[in-house]
Amino acid sequence: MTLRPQIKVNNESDRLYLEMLYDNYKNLMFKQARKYFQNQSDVEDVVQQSFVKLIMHLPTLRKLNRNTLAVYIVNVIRSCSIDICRKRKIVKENNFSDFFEGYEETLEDDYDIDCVMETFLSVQQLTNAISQLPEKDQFVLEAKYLQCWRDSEIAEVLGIKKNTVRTRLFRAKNKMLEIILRGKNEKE
Amino acid sequence: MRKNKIKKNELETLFEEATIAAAELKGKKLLEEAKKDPYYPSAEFNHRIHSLIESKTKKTEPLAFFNKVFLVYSRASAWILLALVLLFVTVPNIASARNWVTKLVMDSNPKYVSYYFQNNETNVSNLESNKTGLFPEGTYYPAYLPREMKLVQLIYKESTMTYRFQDTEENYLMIQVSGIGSTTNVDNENLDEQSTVIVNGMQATYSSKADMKSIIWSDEAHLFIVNSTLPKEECIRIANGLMN
Repeated sequence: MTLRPQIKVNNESDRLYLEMLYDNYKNLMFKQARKYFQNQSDVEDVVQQSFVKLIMHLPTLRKLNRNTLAVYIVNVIRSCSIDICRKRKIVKENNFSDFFEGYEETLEDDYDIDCVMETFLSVQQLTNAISQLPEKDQFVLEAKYLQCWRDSEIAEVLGIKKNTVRTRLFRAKNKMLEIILRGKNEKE
Repeated sequence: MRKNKIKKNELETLFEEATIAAAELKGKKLLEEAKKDPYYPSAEFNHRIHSLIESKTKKTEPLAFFNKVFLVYSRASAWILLALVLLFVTVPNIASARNWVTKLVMDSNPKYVSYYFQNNETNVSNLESNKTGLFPEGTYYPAYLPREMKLVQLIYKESTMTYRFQDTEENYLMIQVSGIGSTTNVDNENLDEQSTVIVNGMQATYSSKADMKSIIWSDEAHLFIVNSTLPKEECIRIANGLMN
C-alpha cells in the first residue's frame, strides 16, 4: 500500500506530538494488531509500519480529536495488516473475511434523492445507523470521510477495483438508509 | 438536475458528519477497551519506535548531501591510506616471516636440524645446542680453511656432522665427521692416485679420481671424510686442521 505522504516532519513540536501519539495509543495499536496476528514479531511489524504511515499523515492526525484519532489509527493498523497478509500470501483469515469478496460488481451510484430527503435525515440518525453497519461498511465510510483517502487508495488497501470502492460506499449508504427507514416503520 | 446535485452534496455532508460522529463514539469505545487490556511492548521495540521518530523529525541540513559525499570520500581515502600502509609494512617483512616459518618447521622436527648460512644471514635452530652454543659439545670443526672458501651448508643429522664449502672459483669442499658405528662407501675403481697420509698422527687414506680428492681416516670414536676439488696439500692441511 502506498498512501500519499502529506508532508515532511522535521521539528521539535512534531517529535513531541509523535512521542505522545505512541505513548497514548500503543495499547490500542497492539490490541488491534493482535487481532490479526498471533506472532509477536508480526504484531511489532504491523505496529511499526502503521506508525510510519501515521507519521506520513501527521497534519491530518493533528486535526483529529482523541477518539476519532483512535479510529484513524485502528484503520491504519487494519490496512497495514491486510497489506502484510497480502505480501506474505497468507490465506485470508477470518478476521479479514468480510473485507475480501469473491466477486466484484459495479452499481449505479444513484439514490432516489427526493425519497431520501423526505425522510428528514439527521446526523444523529445516521450516526446510529453507521454504528449498526458491518465492519467492512464502516471501514469504507471512515476511509472516505475520516481518513480522507481517495477511492484509488481505498481500492489499493482492500485489493479491489476503484469502481468497486464506489459500489461498497453506495451499498453502505443504502444500508444506513434502510436501517433508518426500518426504524421509522417499527416506531409507526 | 442542479437541484439533485445540491441535494446530493447536502447528503454527502450529512454522511461525512455522521461518519465522524460515529467514529467519535467508536473511538471512545475502542480506547476504553484498550485501557482495560494494557500492553507493554518490549524495551527494544520502544527504542525502535523512538529511533524512528528521531530519524523522521531530524532537521535536514542544507548541505547534507555535500557533507555526505565528503564523508564517503574521507572514509574511502582513509581505507586506501590504511591499505597502503599495511602493504608497505607487510612486504619487507615477508622474508622475515618466511624465516620464522622455517624456524617453526625445524623446531617441530627434533631429529633433523639444518643450519643454513646465506647472504650473511644466519638461521640457527637446534634443540640442545641453543643452550650450550652453536654446535653440540665435542663437535669437530675445521680450524683451517683456504681463503675465499665459504660455508654454504651445514647438516647435523643424528651423529653425523657435514660441512659443505664453496669458493668463488667453484672449488668444492665437504667435511664429514661421523660418530661410532658409522659406515661409508668408497669408490676405489679407476683411481688416479691412492696413498697413505698422516693426519693428526693418524693413518689416513688419500685418493683422487678426476678432480675430486678424498681423505678418509678414523680414531676410536669418529670417522672423518674430507672431499674436495682443492689440491692434495690443501686437503691434507684442512684435514690436519680438524679439531673439537
